[in-house]
Amino acid sequence: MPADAARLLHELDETWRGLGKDQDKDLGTGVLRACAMTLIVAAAEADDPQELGGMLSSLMQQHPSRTIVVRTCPHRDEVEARTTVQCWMPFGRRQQICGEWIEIYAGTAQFGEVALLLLGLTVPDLPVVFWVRHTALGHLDALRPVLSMATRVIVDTSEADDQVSALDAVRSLAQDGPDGHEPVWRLADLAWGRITRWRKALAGILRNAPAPSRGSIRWAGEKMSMPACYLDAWLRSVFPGIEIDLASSDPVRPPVNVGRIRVVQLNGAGVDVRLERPTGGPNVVAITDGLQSGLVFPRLDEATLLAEELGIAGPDHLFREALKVARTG
Amino acid sequence: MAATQVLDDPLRFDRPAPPATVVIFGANGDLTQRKLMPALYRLAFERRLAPGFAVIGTSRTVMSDAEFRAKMRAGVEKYLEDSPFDAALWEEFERGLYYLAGDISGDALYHELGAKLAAVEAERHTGGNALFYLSTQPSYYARVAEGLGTAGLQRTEDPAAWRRIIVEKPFGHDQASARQLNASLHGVFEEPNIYRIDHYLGKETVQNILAFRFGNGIFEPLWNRRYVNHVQITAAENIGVEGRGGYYQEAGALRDMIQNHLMQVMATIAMEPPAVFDAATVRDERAKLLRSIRILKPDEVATHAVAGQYGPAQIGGERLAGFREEKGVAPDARTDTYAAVTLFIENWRWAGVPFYIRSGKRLPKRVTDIAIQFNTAPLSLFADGEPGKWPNLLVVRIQPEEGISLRFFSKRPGSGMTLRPVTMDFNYGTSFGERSPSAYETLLLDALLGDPTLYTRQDMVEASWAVVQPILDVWSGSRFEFPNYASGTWGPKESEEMLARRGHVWRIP
Repeated sequence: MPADAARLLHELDETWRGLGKDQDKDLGTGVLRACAMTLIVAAAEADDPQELGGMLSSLMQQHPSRTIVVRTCPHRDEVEARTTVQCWMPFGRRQQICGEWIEIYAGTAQFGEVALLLLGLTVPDLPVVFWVRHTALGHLDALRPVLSMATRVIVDTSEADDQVSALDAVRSLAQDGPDGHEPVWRLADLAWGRITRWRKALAGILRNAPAPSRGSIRWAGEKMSMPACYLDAWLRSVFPGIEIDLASSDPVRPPVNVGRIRVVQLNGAGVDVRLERPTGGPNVVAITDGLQSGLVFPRLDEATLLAEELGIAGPDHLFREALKVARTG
Repeated sequence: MAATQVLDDPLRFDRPAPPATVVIFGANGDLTQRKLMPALYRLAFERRLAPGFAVIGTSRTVMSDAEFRAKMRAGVEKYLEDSPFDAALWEEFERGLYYLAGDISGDALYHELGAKLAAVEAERHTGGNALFYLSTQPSYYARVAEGLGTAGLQRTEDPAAWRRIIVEKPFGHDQASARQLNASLHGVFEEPNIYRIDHYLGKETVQNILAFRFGNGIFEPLWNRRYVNHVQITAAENIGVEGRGGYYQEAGALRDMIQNHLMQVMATIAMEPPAVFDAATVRDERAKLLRSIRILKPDEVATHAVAGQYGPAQIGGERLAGFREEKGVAPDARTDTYAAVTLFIENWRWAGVPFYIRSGKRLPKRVTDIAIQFNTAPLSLFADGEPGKWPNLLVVRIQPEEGISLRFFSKRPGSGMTLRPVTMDFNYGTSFGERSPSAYETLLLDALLGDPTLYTRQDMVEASWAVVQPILDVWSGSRFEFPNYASGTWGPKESEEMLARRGHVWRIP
């Protein structure tokens, strides 16, 4: 049956009614419908459904939403959709908390139709977040109507093989509002979130120190990773005139969840700071003017990064400034 | 140019604490192991502490640095809540832990402490900053402050460095001793460097009261005598004195809970909106509210305050001892293990609105909450009169399950106009899946950052004692028929009668 917004919403309504009948008020059981936003996820056909589903389910516990996953299936000639609810039982409680879940399958030729469908499926009066899991999807013209109703657009360039085109794509999304105006959405890149712990550590260490004049960043992998690119850009935007040497320290590129930035060194008159993460694991050694201390940078998966990003209120001026000066090598 | 502010990103991370040494007096005690060290370790885990961070523990017990570190590690591993223990991080963290044995009543300890602070400063680059935490018997507070002053440790030659002191409650055991303690502390430290810790103010929900009241536009217009019928603040514990009989016998519920924690909660609920959200302005408003509470005359105490003491009970096949049978408690003890008071605030917003506050031990459950009961609708349109029986109620739950709920009426489905009370519930745990920091994490970090918003100030302490003192004076000359409530009940019947005089009843939380 072709997808239709009214039918899908009716299906969800029926599901809620069914769940409501099962509850026992005296026992305090039953379900609680929770929703703080519409989260639209643009995913590729190749994305592992179990991995993506598990990740979004865990995200829903922190940011309950009506989640709409749009799967791009190039050879499909019809838009199909199905609805369900995702429930979880908080520890020590008897009442389940549930969020709505809609999955849409469509070929690229049907994206115009998908956009219209999405317009009818968003939750009224709540933010719309559009997570473009693959940066290139954000440039599909057919999805422009969806982008234009988003309060926030989130991309992730962490896995990008080609930093030049990834950076171009992000810059384009950051500047690309309707009719050439500033975008109505706030753009975020999860690769920027990956350097938050580095930035926080450096902010703590350099709090009362003089500004450094030179530095270096080392990473694992032949090509520069986007987090390293952003860290370099942030340092140059906050310390104008600083010279930063960029190089790979290990040709082997580890998986994205393992930290790729390995060393950050900052020097200048009265400042000597080195942060080392030798294996990409959680433990980082900070050496400040010869004094060694330990830090923990937990491994970051997509759900954690996305949850952090969704928890941020207000425009991210520091990211925009860094994006302006970012370079790819 | 110092890199001070340009690196901060308030959207994504909080300001880290500056380098400092925390000196804990009474470091061999329970509080250090259970609360302080897990909180400091957790702050390190969250990367909130500077690399140049150190702790000097001191107490009478002779211990080496290594023994102190091992003991603290055991405490952190045992009492760390909601987060994993990271052995590698601990190894780095414990390098900053030192110990100094000594007698706090003599002068020698403070001179040795001065030398130790200088050595730690050189080794750990703490910048001369020091936070003195008094986790000792309250009777030693004045002595420790004096000792620090004698050794000149309350100040440094570096004008950029700071020295602060944290004292735990109780801040005195009556109005006179509170004033005396303040005078002793002021003899050494200036008021802005004195941090009086009230861990209730560090709780997330108590802080959230400010967000709820002043971050939303719809509640504040209702927050006054025109719409609020009365307010009930409850802090109930289901346990007894649990080995603290000796201390509790001298304190009692009115001193131990109401004079400090619950009056601070009341001030947060009832204060006027501050013009700006900074420490001085928020604390000014809290203090102003506390000064606006009507002081009871001696002849009003009997009708506005109730004292209770729990007796023995048989619960679930187990016999629970009465208070007078507890270890360390005199068989004729007159201590109030339950206290309830009716207070009025004399300002335009709250005139005539009763604030009922109760706290007790061995009550049916552990719960702390604030219930704001609104006036009923001015005209009853519905025949069954249900709305009159169930007025709108806004409940702010502080523990065990933090949250806010609102009770209102809804039509029962079907023909006819039958109403039923329903609640709209907001639960912290389910709405924010993230971990809440413990009160001690919040408060220690604030002290390191120099933010006293959540700490009590001299005038606040003295204002709350001024409210409680007349009740204590009358009670000290009264003969109560103790015990007057059985363990596992909601307190003495006089407490119910106190509310009944105004046509109110205690709710069952």
